[in-house]
Amino acid sequence: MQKAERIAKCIIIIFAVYTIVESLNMGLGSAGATGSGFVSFGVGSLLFLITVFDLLKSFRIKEKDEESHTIGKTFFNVIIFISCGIFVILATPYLGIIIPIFIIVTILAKLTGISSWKEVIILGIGSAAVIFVIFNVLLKINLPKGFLGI
Amino acid sequence: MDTLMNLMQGVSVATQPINILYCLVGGVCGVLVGALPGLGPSAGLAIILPLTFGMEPVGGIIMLAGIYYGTMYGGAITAILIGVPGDSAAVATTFDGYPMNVRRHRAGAALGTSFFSSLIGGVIAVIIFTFLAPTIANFALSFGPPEYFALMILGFTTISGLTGKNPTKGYIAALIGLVFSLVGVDMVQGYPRFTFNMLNLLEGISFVPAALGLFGIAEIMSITKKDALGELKTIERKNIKWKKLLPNKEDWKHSYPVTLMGSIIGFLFGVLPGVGATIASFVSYSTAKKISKRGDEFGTGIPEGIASCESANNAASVGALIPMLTLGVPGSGATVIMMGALMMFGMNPGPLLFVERPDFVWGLVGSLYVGNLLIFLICMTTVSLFVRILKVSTPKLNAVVMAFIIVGAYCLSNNIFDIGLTLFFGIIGYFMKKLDYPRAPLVLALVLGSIFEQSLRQSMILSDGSFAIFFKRPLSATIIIISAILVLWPVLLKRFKKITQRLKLAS
Repeated sequence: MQKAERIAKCIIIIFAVYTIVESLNMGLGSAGATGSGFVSFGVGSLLFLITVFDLLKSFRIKEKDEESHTIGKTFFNVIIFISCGIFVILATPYLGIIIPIFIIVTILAKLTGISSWKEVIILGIGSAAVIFVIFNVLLKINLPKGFLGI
Repeated sequence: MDTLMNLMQGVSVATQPINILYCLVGGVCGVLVGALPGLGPSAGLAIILPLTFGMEPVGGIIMLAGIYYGTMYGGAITAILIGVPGDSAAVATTFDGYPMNVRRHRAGAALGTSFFSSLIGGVIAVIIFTFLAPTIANFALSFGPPEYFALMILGFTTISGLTGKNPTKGYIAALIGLVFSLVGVDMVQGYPRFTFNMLNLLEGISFVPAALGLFGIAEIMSITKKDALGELKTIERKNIKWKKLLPNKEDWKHSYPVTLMGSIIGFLFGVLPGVGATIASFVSYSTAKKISKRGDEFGTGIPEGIASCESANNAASVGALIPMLTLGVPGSGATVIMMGALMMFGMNPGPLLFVERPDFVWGLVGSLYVGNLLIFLICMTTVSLFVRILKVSTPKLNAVVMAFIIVGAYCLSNNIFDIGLTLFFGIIGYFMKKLDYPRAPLVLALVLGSIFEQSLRQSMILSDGSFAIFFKRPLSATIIIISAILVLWPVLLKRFKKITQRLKLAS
């Protein structure tokens, strides 16, 4: 767990350094005429200092037991949920949003534990239909349509 | 006396059958829109606005106001039942609402607490509105950039109440949120910042995709397969009976002080243009955590945690109507749309509205009393239906919730980019949850950041670079002193207790 924490802190430090460098590029201005980078420089510097301090502190504390964490157990969820989201983004311009929604609901339900194909397909169709009725028909929001017209 | 006479006339207008119907339709639509992730009051108002074109002005504005405060009731439903806030004002409700459902298995009582608090917050706010609207409007006018900056400092002091066990991680999360809030075009100099040459980032990062990703997607991704396939939640019939939905004596005893406090805080924050229900609910939650006897239990699912935010956000929605009606200054996206509707009805919002069209103004005020009560009754009678959502198996629920989050994110500005942004925050939220970084400070900083930066820089320009401006102006100095007291209060209290203990032992 400490290893994961240290990696996260290193990423945050890199993020803070990037913020500081970009802020200097934008210019800090003067006290009476603050530049675009004025506040972000301050925030980035504070973030850098706090995170570095916390990272150094973590090296001093000896880890007693390797705490188990559930990142590994649930990382599969991250992959499938994010992949489904990316699929919606890529497919919507061609298929509209309703068909990708049907597909991802079916896939997500199947991969996260529902064994029956009948159940997941009914769930997918039902969800897509409800979303269509609520957003397109009742709320009259123009959801993107694909080449099939839905 | 005049005020009471006007109010009675207003209530008589509001209780006409047709106006009650408009209020009911608006309220129910507001609850449903509020419950849908990604759609907030602005979206609900924009969608229903065309329906009001042919209506009488009083009826039209009653329906629109019904949608506005209805969304405050509705946002809490999904926040409590599935941990996904229906709108930005309900984010703070998830902190205790969802744990009260999942850990304490008191979903019905959580919803009941939320509805009761919303009702009390709304009614208190309307009472203050009735008697003090013009005075408070003038007070709001006196807020300039230094006062707004001081108010944001007050908002940031509440972060200490949201950091959980590890304050350092909370401050890191808040600073990251501040950086995210600076993405977009600099409002003072017009320079694009951290946009990576993407046109979609020029307007900055909206709060909604961040909230949906951090709290919605992150939660559903964090559930292990074992937990998801665990026993289906059985909801015993007795737990969704009317009596079980009412907060019990113990709940009331702890909740009523924070409900009253939240109502005042929410109303005052709602009156200030640009501040709104979201900030009000966070400040109220954090303040309640500091003053409550059970402050350490906040975040574990206690009713005070729900009551403080729900009373604040409903009171803020009423407060936001004051600058719109009395000064013609819309305070939020939702009131911009309502003001547009007023103009469409031929009304001129401003001080003269109270004089030229008292029937219209007082009819609206009367409908706020009637509407809050009606929506409360509807919500309470349908809680058992909402709670049945918990009987759905987790894999099915997660899949459907993901679909609604994606569509809700798209509907924000009809842009696929917002779906990508939501996924991005979903990944960040997932790792934050796994590594015990609190997400609330990030979200709060994202909300406060742009006003904080703008007001700071405007103040520095006004004062030619001198920080003394924040202390020379009485209002700003007062707010900063209050912020300092709130930060130092826990430390001072601890010291005081130690000293009194030593004195007792010595004696």
